[in-house]
Amino acid sequence: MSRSDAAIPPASAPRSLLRDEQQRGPGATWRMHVRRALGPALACRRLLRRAPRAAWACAIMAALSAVGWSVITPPFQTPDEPSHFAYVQVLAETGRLPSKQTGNLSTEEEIVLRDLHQDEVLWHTNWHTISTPAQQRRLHEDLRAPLDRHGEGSGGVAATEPPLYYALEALPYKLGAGGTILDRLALMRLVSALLAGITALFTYMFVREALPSTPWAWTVGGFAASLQPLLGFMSGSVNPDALLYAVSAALFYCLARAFARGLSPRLALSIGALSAMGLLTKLNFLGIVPGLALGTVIVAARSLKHRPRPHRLYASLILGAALPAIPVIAYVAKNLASGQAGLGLLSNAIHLTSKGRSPLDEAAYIWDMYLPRLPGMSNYFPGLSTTRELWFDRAVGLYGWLDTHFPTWVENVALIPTAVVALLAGRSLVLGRRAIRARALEIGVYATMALGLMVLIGADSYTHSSIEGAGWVQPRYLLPLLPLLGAVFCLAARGAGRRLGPAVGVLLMLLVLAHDLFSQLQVIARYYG
Amino acid sequence: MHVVRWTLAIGLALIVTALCLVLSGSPSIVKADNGVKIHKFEYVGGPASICQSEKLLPRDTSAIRESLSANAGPWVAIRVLSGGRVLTRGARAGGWGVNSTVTVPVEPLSAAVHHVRICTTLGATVEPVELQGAVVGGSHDESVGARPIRMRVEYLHPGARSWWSLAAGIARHMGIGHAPGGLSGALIVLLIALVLVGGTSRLITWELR
Repeated sequence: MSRSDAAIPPASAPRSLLRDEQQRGPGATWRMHVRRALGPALACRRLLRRAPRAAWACAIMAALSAVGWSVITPPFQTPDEPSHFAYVQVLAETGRLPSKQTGNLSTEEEIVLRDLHQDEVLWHTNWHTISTPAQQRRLHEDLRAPLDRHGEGSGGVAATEPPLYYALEALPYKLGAGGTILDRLALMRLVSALLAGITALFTYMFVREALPSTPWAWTVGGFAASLQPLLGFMSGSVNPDALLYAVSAALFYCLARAFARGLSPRLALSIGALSAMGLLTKLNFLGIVPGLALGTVIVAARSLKHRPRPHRLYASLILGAALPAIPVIAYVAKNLASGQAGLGLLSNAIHLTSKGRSPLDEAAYIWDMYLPRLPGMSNYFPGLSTTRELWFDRAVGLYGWLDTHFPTWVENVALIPTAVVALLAGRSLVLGRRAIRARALEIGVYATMALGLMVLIGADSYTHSSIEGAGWVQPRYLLPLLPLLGAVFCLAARGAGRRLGPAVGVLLMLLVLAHDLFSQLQVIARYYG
Repeated sequence: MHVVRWTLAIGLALIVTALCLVLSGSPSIVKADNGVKIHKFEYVGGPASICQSEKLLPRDTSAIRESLSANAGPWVAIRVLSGGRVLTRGARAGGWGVNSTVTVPVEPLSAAVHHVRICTTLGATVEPVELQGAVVGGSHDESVGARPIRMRVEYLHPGARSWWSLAAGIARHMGIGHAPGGLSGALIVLLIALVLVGGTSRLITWELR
């Protein structure tokens, strides 16, 4: 961070807010009401208008990369894709949410999974996808057959997830209703790929708002985060993570903007609407809620001090807080109506967590899951360095149904550029320590969001550790924090100094591009080689 | 601007060189296996050591694949012995998986060796590791606390054909059981890769001046 990163006074009254106040007049009252109701949508339109061409370029390339991944990855060979597809199918065919986790999927899906040898290929890297003429003939015959699409209402492991992403995916499913199941899956994957573009757009905009002093470095940060192969891989599949990444990136952007320019009524409504979307997308979103709430309270308090007539902002804040409360109330009501515990899956998790284990034990487990063990701590991951052998190696590459990764030597070599990026970003932070002090609260909010997500994943892993071992250690769960990775790359490019910075930025961008392309080759080799 | 353009040119040249090197290599293929069909599995915790006799270690074996399954596998070391003498060895760091097999690279031998013993050592484990194979009689010398089970073992070596020469077949394979079918999938992927390279270059020359 440089001094100029702190040049925008966080608590200043922004021009846009003053303009909003001046526009109020008796003749425009009805227009104001309409604008207020459409606040988040208008804010989104304005954002799209002011996004620079580099942001659009990053968005298009992220979406294209995800399209490439969607073509490369065989059908139903990404984490839980059969269950996510089944959820959409139940929703689209019956108009209802899946009623259970167990039970058969639709005949159509079960038959195609069998024909594709999904079970044999899954977790067996010595198996490739089907290739013989007999296998193809059988698949084509079954694809043409009028098989039942309803099943028993099972959504597999996805059944407990909230419905927003699946409702969105029901549109391409319906659009491809006349085609085969593989056509529908391909269309659904394309919608996920579009979400990668949205994630990239907001990631770039976050970097621009958070680190405003060096425009050329925004491109490095935005691009490097947007072309992460893990983003392309996950957004090239049917998985609610794709929408969660987009919503999280948008929220990071909104918070950065609110910290830099103050919280406008529109921004407050946008944060509320996006939070509601996050809660309706995936339960992992709960992890970033504490940090998000903290950030909103801080920016609201600052902005209220500087607004001459704060009643509009108060109203927006109340409405913004009410929006995410609606899905929570609906979720509790649904659970209570069906005779389950009010918090449903969360109640079960809390019960499991408290069952016979102490909170200290859980905290130590979560620490050990991410960081080197401290003296006196129990060894929850014996024989493994979780930071290096699980998180880092898997972040270098873990594709397919978590069964495809690079050879060990690649993971070792990857330590070098990672260390260089960390050192350069560290140098940038040291040089900008005054700006960091000035923005300590903002940085604390982002850190709380990251910590909340990591603790949630750790707690979930803890409750299932006896069954799944280290199965929860999947870097994809951390991709809602992608905008922060963009900021790290931006800082690294700036850390190389004014003269060398752009050249280092070029190298970082090419490194990420190469990582994406070689990751795709690795997956091609695994399934078709 | 000159520095940026030169860096871009050198970076792209490095990527193309790396791509050519990778594609000039050959994929590992299974040269032979020990004939064990997987019927049974047992769970073992680490540390543990498992030895089993095999009829043949083929020459030029560059990696040995064993039917061990885990979410996050432990450190694995393999030694191939003949009459107490270590012929070749290799190890793999922990954290592998999720997979039903583990592949451990070993030093290739110039000649095949008959009647060898393959000893596998597992480091400490986070979760039980699944041994997959066939149940054998009590004569099997294992010390893992599990029922005697003979793992399936495959011997890998670099194939004769490079990735370049396999490209057409792989492109056709990508279109099977997939929408879009035929060669269009591979062509789309190739086109997207070219657009990404071109787009990145354009973005760099636009923005990093």
